[in-house]
Amino acid sequence: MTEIHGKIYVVAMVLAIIFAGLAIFLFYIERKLDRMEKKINEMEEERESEKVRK
Amino acid sequence: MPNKTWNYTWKIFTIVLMLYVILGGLLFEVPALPVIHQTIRNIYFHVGMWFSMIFILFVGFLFSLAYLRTFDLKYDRMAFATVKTGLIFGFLGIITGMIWAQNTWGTYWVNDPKLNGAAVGILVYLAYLILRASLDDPEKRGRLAAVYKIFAFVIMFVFIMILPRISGPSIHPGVDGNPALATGDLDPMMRRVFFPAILGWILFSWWIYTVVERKDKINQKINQLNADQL
Repeated sequence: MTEIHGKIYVVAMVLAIIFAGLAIFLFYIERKLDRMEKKINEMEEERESEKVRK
Repeated sequence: MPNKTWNYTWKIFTIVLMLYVILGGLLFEVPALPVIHQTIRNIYFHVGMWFSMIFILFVGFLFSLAYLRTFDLKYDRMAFATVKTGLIFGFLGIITGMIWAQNTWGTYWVNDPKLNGAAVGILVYLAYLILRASLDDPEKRGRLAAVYKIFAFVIMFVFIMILPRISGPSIHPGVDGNPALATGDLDPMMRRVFFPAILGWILFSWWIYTVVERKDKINQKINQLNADQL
C-alpha cells in the first residue's frame, strides 16, 4: 500500500501549482496594500499641513 | 531598506517549505496501517491547521496583554486581527477533521473530548466577535475585549490541550503524552515532512495575519480621515 503508483504525482504537482498561484495572489494583494498605505500617509500629511495653515 | 529584503525572504522561504510539504506529503512513503491507509497523510495538513490556530491565538493573547499594559489601540487592532485569522484556521481544522473522521471512523462527529473541546474553544472565540460588535467606544471595547480574550485563550487551551488528556480514553489520536512531537510516537519517515509542515503552516498563517491586520489598519485610517473632515 505504501508504493506510490497510478500517477499520484500529477495530483501533487497540481496542488503545488494551486498553492504557488495563491501565494503569488497574496503578494499581489500586499502590493495593493502597499499602495493604499502610501496614499493614506500622503493624505494624512496633507491634512496636517492644512491644519497648520489654518 | 533591509526590512524589505527580509520581508520577501521569509515569505519565499514559506512558499518553498509549503511546496515541499505538499509534494513530500503526497509522494513520500508512509507506514502501511489498517483503516487509515493513505489518509495518514492528512496529518501534514489537518494538524497544521491546529498548530497555526493555536500559534496565532497565542500571539493574540500577548497582544491583549500588551493592550492592557499600554492602552495603545494599535494592540487592540492587532489582537482583533489574530482572532479573525485564528478562526479561519480553526474552522478549516474542524472541517478537515470531519472529512477525515467520516472516512475512517465512519461518522462526521463523535462525542469525544478532543472534538467537543475544539468546538467549544472555537465558540469561545466567536463570542469575542460578538462582544466586540456590541460595544462602540473604542477604549472601553478594547479593554473589555482584551480582558475577555486573555481568559478565552486560557479556556481554549484547556479545552483543546488539557481536558482531552485527562478525560479518559479517546478515539482521537494524540491525547496521551505529547502527540507527534514526542520521539518514537510519529513514524520517523513522516517526521521528515511533519516538522517542516508545522513550521510552514505557522509561517503561512502569520503571513495571512499580517495581511488582515494591514487591511484593518487602512480601514481605520480611512475612517479617521473621514471623521476629521466632519
